Amino acid sequence: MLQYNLEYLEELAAGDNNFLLSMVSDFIHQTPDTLAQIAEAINRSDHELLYQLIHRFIPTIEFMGVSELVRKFRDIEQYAKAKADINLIKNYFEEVQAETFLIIDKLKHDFNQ
Amino acid sequence: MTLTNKPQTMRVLIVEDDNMTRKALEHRMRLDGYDVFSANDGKQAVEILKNANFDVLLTDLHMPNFSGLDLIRFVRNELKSNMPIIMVTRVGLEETVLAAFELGANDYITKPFSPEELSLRVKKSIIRFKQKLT
Repeated sequence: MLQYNLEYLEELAAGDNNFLLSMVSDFIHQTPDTLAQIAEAINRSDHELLYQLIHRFIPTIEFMGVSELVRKFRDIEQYAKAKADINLIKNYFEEVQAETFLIIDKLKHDFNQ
Repeated sequence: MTLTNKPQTMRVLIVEDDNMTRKALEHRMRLDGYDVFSANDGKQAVEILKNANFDVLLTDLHMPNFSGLDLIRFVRNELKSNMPIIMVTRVGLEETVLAAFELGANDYITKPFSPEELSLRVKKSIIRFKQKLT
């Protein structure tokens, strides 16, 4: 069962709860758009763009402390870099995307967003 | 302390295309008491740097269009500035990091960054730079 862990974010916040809430809110509201861009890059078989998008997105997942998702997005980053078969990437991404939305739903629920 | 003898606040320019990472860097730097300015890509940073001086530059390396390497090249070769430059980058870009050092970057920190380490590296870079000037 995937779970987020805000320990790192709390360390960064250093007691500033507004900062923490703002970061969680950014993740909830910006991630769907990023995932859509990633899906579009896959649909266009644009490995270079896919690599760029995933590379930029991984720190975002790291902020939320979802290590299992970090590992999976790193896999996709490597597949993109190696220009792996796009159908393989697509199937894997669909699984990872669904898991990312589960995390978003949990955060929405826990933070009343 | 009166306003006239208040020490000047150090100015940090952060260049990072990822919104959340930029926000985290800004937050830490503000907590440390710096005057914080930000750009979300290298081109925007160039425009800011043409019009203002900073005590340290924190830059991502992997940015579209005008990369961190382009920015370091601009600062050293065109701006002719020796300001400390600290790269903020992910593990796995070792070749790019080496290229950045060749171009004149001073230090680097990896994402996800340790807040304490970031504070220390920024502070040390500024101290080293000021010592060279005296």
